Amino acid sequence: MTAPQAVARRDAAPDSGARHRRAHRGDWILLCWCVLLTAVMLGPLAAPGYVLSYDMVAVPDQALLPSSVGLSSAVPRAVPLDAAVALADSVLTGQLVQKLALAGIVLGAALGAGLALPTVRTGTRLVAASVYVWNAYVFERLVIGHWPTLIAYAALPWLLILGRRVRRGRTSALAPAVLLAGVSALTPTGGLLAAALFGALLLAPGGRHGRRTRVLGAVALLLLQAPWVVPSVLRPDPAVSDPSGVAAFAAASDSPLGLLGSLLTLGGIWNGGVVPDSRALPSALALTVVVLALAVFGATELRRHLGRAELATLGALAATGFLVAVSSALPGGGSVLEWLVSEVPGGGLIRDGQKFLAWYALLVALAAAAGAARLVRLAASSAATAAGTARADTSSAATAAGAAANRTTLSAPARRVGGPPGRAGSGVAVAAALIPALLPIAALPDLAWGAAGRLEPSSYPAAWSDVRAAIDGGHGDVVVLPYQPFRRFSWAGDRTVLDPAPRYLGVEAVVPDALPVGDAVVPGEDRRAAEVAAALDGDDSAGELAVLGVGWVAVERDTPGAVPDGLLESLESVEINGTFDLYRVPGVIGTWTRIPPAAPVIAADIVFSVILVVASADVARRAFSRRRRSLRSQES
Amino acid sequence: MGNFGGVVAAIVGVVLAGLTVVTAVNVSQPSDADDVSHEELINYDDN
Repeated sequence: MTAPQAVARRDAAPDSGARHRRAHRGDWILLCWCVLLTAVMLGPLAAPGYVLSYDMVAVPDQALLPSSVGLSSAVPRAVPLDAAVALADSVLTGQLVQKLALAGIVLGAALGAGLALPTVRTGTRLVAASVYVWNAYVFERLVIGHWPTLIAYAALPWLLILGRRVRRGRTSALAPAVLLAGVSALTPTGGLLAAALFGALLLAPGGRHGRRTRVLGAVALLLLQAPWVVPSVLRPDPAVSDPSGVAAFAAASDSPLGLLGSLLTLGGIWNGGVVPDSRALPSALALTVVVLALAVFGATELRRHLGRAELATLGALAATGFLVAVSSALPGGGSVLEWLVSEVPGGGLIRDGQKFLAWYALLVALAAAAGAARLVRLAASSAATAAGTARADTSSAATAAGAAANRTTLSAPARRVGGPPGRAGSGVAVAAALIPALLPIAALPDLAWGAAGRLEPSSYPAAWSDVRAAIDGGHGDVVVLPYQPFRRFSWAGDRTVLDPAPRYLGVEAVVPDALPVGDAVVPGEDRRAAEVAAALDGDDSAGELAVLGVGWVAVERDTPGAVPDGLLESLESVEINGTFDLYRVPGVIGTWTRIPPAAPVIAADIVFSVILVVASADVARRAFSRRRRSLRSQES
Repeated sequence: MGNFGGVVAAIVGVVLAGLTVVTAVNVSQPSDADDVSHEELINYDDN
């Protein structure tokens, strides 16, 4: 009998009906808890508007453009995400797409973590949900706007569950897993996070799944990466990055615990501007350390809840992710990373290594839940011993009988959390399960209510829609000034945000990708963007822009930054409102041709789409069959 | 043993509650993180 089976048998109630009702009630309690966490975290998003924070940009109607699938001079960092958002935008409004995605991420992550341990004890599930979704990693990645990475983060516990099922021979779990891996692969980092976990589970030795399932799953996982791999590999300029990015995006201490302590407690992002204020508070750190201690306390218990292959896979990936995150601080680690980033195509993916803590976060959440389960069992044992001692005053024989009865006839609330007998004992058990579920919130209170106001929706000024209406896609691409990647608008809370205009305007844009970080500027990879920067500094800016295929210049007047002297005088005014102005570049507009070849890129997207459609159809077919069988059994 | 466990649990509970209150009070204090830089070049890691 395996450890999970032993746990399941131990959890089992005397009759299957009672067990089913208990599990059903537990599922509802978990769902309500996850909805509550989501509402408390993202409540402000119910207001109309778009959340704009660092890399998180949403616009009313993002257009489907060649660059959305990687057919541009830029490195395909948001591919095929931009295409997916553009398609979703055509059905729903842009702000609804964004809010559904964010809510789905938080709810999905919490629910998945809560269900990842094969136990029916509700208290344990609540702890896993809380720890996984309410931590510094989620705060920092939300505020910096890396929501596509968080899609994969949310998918990880589900992929663990589905991987377990596949390994037990349930091939029906393959299709939903491929679907989740596909949604995660909307960006390169998300694709790697999800594919590594499910691929390792699929290919690890053992399991009852056949060779066909292993090969089919592995091939699907590889092909799902094609939409970003193909344009990266086939772009005329190599997809390598400047080595200075390694130091700029290296994990950094974001608390008094130092770099190692910050990473162990799921913080340590490179960007100090997105660190929660509470990370500087000793009281909050003490609570965070208690959560970590609970995970350490429960680490040995995980073997009772997870299969050997699951634990080994998750443990190995957690260790790998942690190593990547901390590598730049290790002796020689920075040099190795710099070589990878500057020599290996796609190596730039690992320069922000802290994002690979996602696997470790799942391990911590499940271990903390196991720790809570162990705590509850200790409380139950202690209460039973106390009850036995009290009864020994009257009769030693009665003590033995009473203790035995206490172990088998738990009160209802105590059973749900695995608690001890009696009213007082069950209260202790409920507290032992619920307090760990509340600890992450107490340790990071500023994640509540839109990360303490950092994720409040904003509305675009009317001038933006006027410019979009005035621009004509047949006259070349657009450059938005000031020519720098980030903006700070008063109407968006003066928060740093990636310029939304390239996605808002509905035409191709040349976007500066040299990133100012600290006192340095990390050079970008887009040759066209660099040539546009040089053109803007030249004597005949308008003429050079035309040669580079730029037919429009838009100027945002309400954000810091300079506009080149004399440029606007040489352009034709189209829409001048003082907030967001539009100019037309005169003359014949050239075409920029140094982009990846269209045929293989589109073929990669078709393969990606076909895999997702086939997987979705299989999921729908099986769900329909299950529903029909259920209805038939009810009728009979 | 049971009483001892209860006392320990109560102490731990009080400590955790105290830390929670102290954290909540401190987080609700305004910080200087909202100070806006008006440099011409906006840094990726600006507060």
